[in-house]
Amino acid sequence: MEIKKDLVAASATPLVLAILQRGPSYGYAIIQAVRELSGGELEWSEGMLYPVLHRLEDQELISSYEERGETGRMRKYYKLSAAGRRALGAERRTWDVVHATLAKAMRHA
Amino acid sequence: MRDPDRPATLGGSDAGARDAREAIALAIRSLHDDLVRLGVDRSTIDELADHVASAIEARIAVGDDLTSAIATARTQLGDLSQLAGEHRRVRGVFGPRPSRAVAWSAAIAMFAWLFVVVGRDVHAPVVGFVTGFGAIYMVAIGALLFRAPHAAGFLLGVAINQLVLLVENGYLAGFAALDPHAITLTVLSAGCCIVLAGRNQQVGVLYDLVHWVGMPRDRTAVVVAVAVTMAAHAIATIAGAVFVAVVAYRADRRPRALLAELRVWSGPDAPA
Repeated sequence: MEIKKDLVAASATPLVLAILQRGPSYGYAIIQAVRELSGGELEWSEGMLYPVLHRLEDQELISSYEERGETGRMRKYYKLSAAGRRALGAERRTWDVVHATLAKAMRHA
Repeated sequence: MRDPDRPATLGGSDAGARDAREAIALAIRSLHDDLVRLGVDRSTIDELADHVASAIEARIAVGDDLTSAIATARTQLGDLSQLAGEHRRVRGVFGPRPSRAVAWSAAIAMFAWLFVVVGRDVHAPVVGFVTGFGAIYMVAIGALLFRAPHAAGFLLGVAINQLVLLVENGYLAGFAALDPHAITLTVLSAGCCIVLAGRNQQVGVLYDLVHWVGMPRDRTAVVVAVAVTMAAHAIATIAGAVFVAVVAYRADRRPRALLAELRVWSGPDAPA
């Protein structure tokens, strides 16, 4: 199944925020988490993820820090900020409304 | 799915694992050089390099041979020019917007410096403002307080300016006259440089400056920042000189005598 680019882009922010709500994470792990959560239906590219992460960091919805990973390399981790937690709540309400509306509309289609 | 936090083993003999590590390091270095050429900032390059290294290790962990693991990881990264363009669009020519903590602490450091410069003599605050530093620094402080989109450019410009002033005041403080005012300014300039260089909590603005000079596509940003800072410095000096000359002419005084009276001129050759 092909998910349109517009929808993938629209869902990027809430998905990143929701994944980071589970705990700090880094770019590669976030892409893996999206793939796993979507059962392989959503394939994010690096070119899409990092600009989203940097934009969210710029908006102070997430913050970053560097830590040496188990591989010995320095790795940049992202974590949700208090503003990000509030933004995630708002996103959840929006997507709930969209989901409920779509479900009702589709049922009567 | 393999836990992405768990390091992949490179398997085989010690020599084979060492060869694999060297091949991965070579691939990462090549990626690093390509991204530097495209003008991507240091922090993003490190992040993408870690990403590709993780992807290569993951491919090897599921049984790919080294060559195809490296090729797949590079292919997954997509077109580097497009990637660099997207990063520049999000981050701007001066790199990421400084965090609120960094921007505000820089603004406070700059305000302290400005306060001492402008308020060096309660009778002559207007001289300080007309010399332009007041206006220029107030714009920079405003941009940092409101975290303007190119606020990092102000950090760079002011860092360069403060380095110049550090040398200038350091000379006055240390060798010329042991002028307490120059000593205060030297300490404040050093404080400003430390705060301004603290961006990214690593090596900061000054490292980025050196790094940018080596990046052909971003050289324009450095040239613009240096040119604007130096032009502002020159305009400020000329405006100040013109102002003092006009005031001295109207008061029928010599400019140096007027400055000495206002205690603005405090150099070793200041008239008594």
